Amino acid sequence: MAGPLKPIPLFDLSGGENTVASPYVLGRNQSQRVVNFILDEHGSLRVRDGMDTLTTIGTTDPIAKMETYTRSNSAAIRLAIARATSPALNRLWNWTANPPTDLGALASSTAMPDIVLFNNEAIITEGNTVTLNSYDATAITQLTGGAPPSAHIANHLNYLWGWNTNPTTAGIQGPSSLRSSDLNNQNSWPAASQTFIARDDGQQGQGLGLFTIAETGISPEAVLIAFKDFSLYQVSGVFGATAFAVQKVKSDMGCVAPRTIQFLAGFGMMRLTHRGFALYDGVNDTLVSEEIRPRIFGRDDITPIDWSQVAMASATQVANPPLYVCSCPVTSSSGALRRVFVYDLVRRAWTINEYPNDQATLALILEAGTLPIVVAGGYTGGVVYELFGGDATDDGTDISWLVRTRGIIAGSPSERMYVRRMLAKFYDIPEGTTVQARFYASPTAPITQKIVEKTVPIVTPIAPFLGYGLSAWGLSPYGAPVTENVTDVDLNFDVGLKCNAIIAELSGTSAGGRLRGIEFHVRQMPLTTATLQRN
Amino acid sequence: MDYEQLKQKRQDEWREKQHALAMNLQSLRAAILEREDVKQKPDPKSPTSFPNVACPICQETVFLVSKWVTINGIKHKMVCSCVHCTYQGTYDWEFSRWLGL
Repeated sequence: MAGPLKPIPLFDLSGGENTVASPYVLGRNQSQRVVNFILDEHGSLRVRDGMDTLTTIGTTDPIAKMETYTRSNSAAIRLAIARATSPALNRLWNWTANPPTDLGALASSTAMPDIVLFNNEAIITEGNTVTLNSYDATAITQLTGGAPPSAHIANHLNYLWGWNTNPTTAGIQGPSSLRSSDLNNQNSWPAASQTFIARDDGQQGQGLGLFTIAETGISPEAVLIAFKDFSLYQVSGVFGATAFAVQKVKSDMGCVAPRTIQFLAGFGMMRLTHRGFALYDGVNDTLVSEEIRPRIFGRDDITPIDWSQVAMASATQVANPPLYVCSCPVTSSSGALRRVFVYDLVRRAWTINEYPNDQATLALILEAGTLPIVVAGGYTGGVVYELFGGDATDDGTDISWLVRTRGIIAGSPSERMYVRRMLAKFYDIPEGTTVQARFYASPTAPITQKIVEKTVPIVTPIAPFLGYGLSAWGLSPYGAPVTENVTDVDLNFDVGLKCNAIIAELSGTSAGGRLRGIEFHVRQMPLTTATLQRN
Repeated sequence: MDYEQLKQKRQDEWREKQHALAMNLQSLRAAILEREDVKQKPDPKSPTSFPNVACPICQETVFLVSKWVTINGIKHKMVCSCVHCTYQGTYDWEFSRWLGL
């Protein structure tokens, strides 16, 4: 005799995506695929914010770098570098201006320029064969005083540091050479302020990061982290200081994409390595992307990122909620950044974002008196986009999203069950949104999958009424009107399948919305050796 | 664990790591300060003799050292001037050579 249906709820989706584990042993709060969601603080999946056009600069070249340049007693200038195709030269733009202003040509067409603010100027690097330039809100000038070409630069303890100063080792320059300027002087580079870090070890300098230490009772200080391909070094102090030290960190990971290095206050320093994403917390260096390894290296139906262009990857961070965001090229994208990895730093879980427009860089715009803005430089069209800005759509277009659940079983993945229905609870999702559910039953013969579509019903708002409303005495003599139009809905998907296990893939296109949970109603069937489905 | 509890847990973990890093740096600095090359840092106002370093101009071995660079407590470079012929340059201890020649 058939027993009662029992519920199998999935109401904590905060574990993000896990593409590695068997669907039957995923974490209870994990899903196989989570695309175009971020992890809501309340355990839901929230549709990501839209990609919103902020401005268009007058170029079709990729926007390879963006930085806010703030001079003393002056308004901030939002700088952008448009990456040219040789023999044309990269160009510097001011996109605060309306319309954006072309500030002039730089010195090369290097693919990975960088900008660091130092001593009231914006210092620009274009690789280890081009002398450093600076912009002082008036003109672009070349640094003097023996300033070395440097693939990577940093402002650390009021010295300008250059790392990887030449493609080959010659004199005091080389791919493992670390140099610094004099104090507060970007035009003075003494030869004494130089060292090689693991010279000629087959690796090259792959980025610099600043790691802040703030311990109770000790003045806050920073150490410089110098990355090579497969190692990282902690540089404390400055050249000439008594306790100046360079220490190798206990790790076999370095960095393969210099523009993915981000110091995340409260969490550590994150970047993309040859093994995936790693987080250095000052003591340990830990690989944190094992759950999504196929998204990085490929497997089955998942294409990998493009490792021939991986150095182009770019990362930034979001303050609220705390996220690390990294955009990488994929095999089919010819270097354009397309696959966006989103790491929730509190939950330590991943989701994947896909945007309608490819990017060339990501940046966090920090200006006094305004909330931080996360921006993306477009790969084509010279467009600057805002991400994570609270927009419900991509420039007016609804956002496509997808979640694939863990495997649902009644007893074990080999025991028969009858799946009657699935309920999906959505909140704040626009009425009229069509949600499609694909059910993948195991074993897969004779029915491969079943597709059911449901539409979020139109909610009848409460008619405005006169009377005392939200405020004690009302906003008018007779009170304020109240309407309710936020949708909280349970969509019922009839399944009606006998199987050993089932996976549901929900997808839709909407302007926002949250998936708060899923519940299956199943009945375990008597143990049997039968494996074929009979309907 | 709800979100607020997780946030608190991360803050506690970060505080521990910051403390460990600060202690590591403190002990590293204390060890560096005991190194011979640090303790014997030349006085910039007094000539210092380096028998194995010859002035590239006059071959003398006494210098006034204006900048003494150590790394991990080991002498690395020095900026100095010869007291006999006033030659000024940077000497690289790692490769035992004058730079820029």
